[in-house]
Amino acid sequence: MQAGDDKVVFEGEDGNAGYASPALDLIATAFLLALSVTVLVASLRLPVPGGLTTAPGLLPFLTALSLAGMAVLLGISAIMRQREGTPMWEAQGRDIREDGRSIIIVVAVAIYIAGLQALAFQYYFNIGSIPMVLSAFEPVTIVALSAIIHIFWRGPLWITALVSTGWTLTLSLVFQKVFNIPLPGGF
Amino acid sequence: MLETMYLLFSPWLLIMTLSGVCLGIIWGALPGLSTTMAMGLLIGLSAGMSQDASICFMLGVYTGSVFGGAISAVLINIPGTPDAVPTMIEGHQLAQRGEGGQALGMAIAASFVGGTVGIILLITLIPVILTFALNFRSWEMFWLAVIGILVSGSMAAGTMPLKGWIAGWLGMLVAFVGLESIHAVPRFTFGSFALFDGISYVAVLIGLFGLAEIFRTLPSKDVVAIPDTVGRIIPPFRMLAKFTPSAIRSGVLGTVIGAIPGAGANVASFLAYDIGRRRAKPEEKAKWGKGSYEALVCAETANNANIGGSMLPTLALGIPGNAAAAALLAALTLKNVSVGPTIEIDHPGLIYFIYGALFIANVMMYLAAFALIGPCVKLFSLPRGILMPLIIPVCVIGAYSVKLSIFDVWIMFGAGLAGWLFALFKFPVAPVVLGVILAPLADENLRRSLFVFEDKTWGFIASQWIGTLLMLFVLLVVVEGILRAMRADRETSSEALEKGV
Repeated sequence: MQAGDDKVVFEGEDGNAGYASPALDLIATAFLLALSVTVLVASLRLPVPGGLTTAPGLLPFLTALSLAGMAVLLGISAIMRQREGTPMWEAQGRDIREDGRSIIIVVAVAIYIAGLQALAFQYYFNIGSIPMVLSAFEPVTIVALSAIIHIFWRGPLWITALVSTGWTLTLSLVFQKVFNIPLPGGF
Repeated sequence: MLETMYLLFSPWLLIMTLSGVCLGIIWGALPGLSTTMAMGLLIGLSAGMSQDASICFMLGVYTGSVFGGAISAVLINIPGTPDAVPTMIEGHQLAQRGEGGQALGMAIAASFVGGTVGIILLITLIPVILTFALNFRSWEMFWLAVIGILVSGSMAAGTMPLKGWIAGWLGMLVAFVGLESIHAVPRFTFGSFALFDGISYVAVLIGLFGLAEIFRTLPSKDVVAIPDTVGRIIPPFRMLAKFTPSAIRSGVLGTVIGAIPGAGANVASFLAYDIGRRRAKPEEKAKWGKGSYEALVCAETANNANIGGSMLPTLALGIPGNAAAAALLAALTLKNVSVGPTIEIDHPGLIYFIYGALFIANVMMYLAAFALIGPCVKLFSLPRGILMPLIIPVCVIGAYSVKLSIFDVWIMFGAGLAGWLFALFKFPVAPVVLGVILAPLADENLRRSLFVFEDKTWGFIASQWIGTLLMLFVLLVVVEGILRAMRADRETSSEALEKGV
């Protein structure tokens, strides 16, 4: 969004949306075409218990067909922009190191979720007369959070560990005791 | 109605509303955390609440987070939410002149007025729309759903509506997974029982708006200058009275924009900001962009009035006005509340409850905002490297809590990855959510209406005038989108020529 003296340019909910480099749009086109063809074939293979008008694959088929059409238009627009002089791979002010850090966080979150799934356990105990549950959520979250904060903040380790532990225990208590919501990492 | 009011003023519901408002304000104030993200993530928290508490809490979050964006916009020149950009342009200039507190005070008052105008218009217009909407049958509902997705795509993707429509269509494909509603045939499940129940749209919502935002913003570096003092916050009454006409005009505008699917609070605030500038007196117009209180009032009134506006199609038609309203719809669905033309028949009294809850949330926002400015300033000093990772377990719990399924957590992760790729490939994400939510409505109603039309002539179908009008509207949206894209293409080409490429 920009405000100028004479003109205000509006953008929608997603300020980032719009033209990408022709190469990226062509990659998107190829993916969308492949997806459309897969859905078209899969929807044709669906059983038709009633007539064609109530066929379960009717709207998926129409959606995939129109998606394929839109993908072709996207591809054509990318090729036309490239022919008009737009470089095939626009840098768009991207920071390669930032993209690398994005991949690190994606992998870290995947490992965190896999950890919750693979190490699931549940242990019941009492603090005074209050029944408590300890599951894989607490240890796995503390370790995962500490690692992620350490990678992206690089502050003193004791603060990292303290923040991770404090936040995990707060979430655990609030969700389990106040809202009665079981946490992942248990059974 | 009295019973509803009595219920709304029960201590527990007041606490829930206040908690929602406070969480919303803090969330909205933190740079990078949007209203939709707040709404999406906190659905998980609302899952453990009763229906009434959940509605009060979510409406509180919605009201609070829309305002919250103004705090960081004025004080640290970073809009907490996208709709706070005009507030940032004006408010930060005022803050640099030492009037940050007063600018925030005006923003709070304007937000309150905007919220009130939005609620009043919601209460006034909803009976009219409901009376009209009761005539809608399957054919009309199908076209309404298609309109919702198309308009959202058109509004969200700026100069390239095609990308918005593709995003909406992808959302529809996601929603087709699972047992379909008429014959209970499993679609695109590939033999996986976990997919029989479909893909949880709460998980998709959290992934697209929560996790994707973390993937996108956590790796970027932040340098934030924190102000030492905020100054006097409560603005003089004379100043408030001076801008009342602008506030009411922007409030009406914000409500109308909010009622258009896909047109979020940011479109409302910028449109009101621009119209305000055109209609301002010359001496005030000269201040526009350099720290104008009137400009600030226009933007803040419009984005808060947008809340009431977005509730209009959400409650009356079941078509969310924006992605945040879609999250609210998801929270309502979790509590077995189905909104739409028959809301008054299916859930008598609920609509009055929602009006009341919105009013209370708006008043609480006004009071809590003054109290929370100080703590928010302290929170700004928290490094992004600490703040953003803390949201990851909230995303995980939010996705897990709906069906207590780790599979949904993986869905959320997949949606987050997709959201990150969407940003990389410059596709909007809001239409995906509209697609996911509206596809089942479109699917069921299309097949029902085609079944009814099986032996009928084309003339009979065309005589269903509301459906025909809606069909023409769909064509209009598509043609407008194509024309807009062609105009943008021409501008891009002429810019390239000017650069001598």
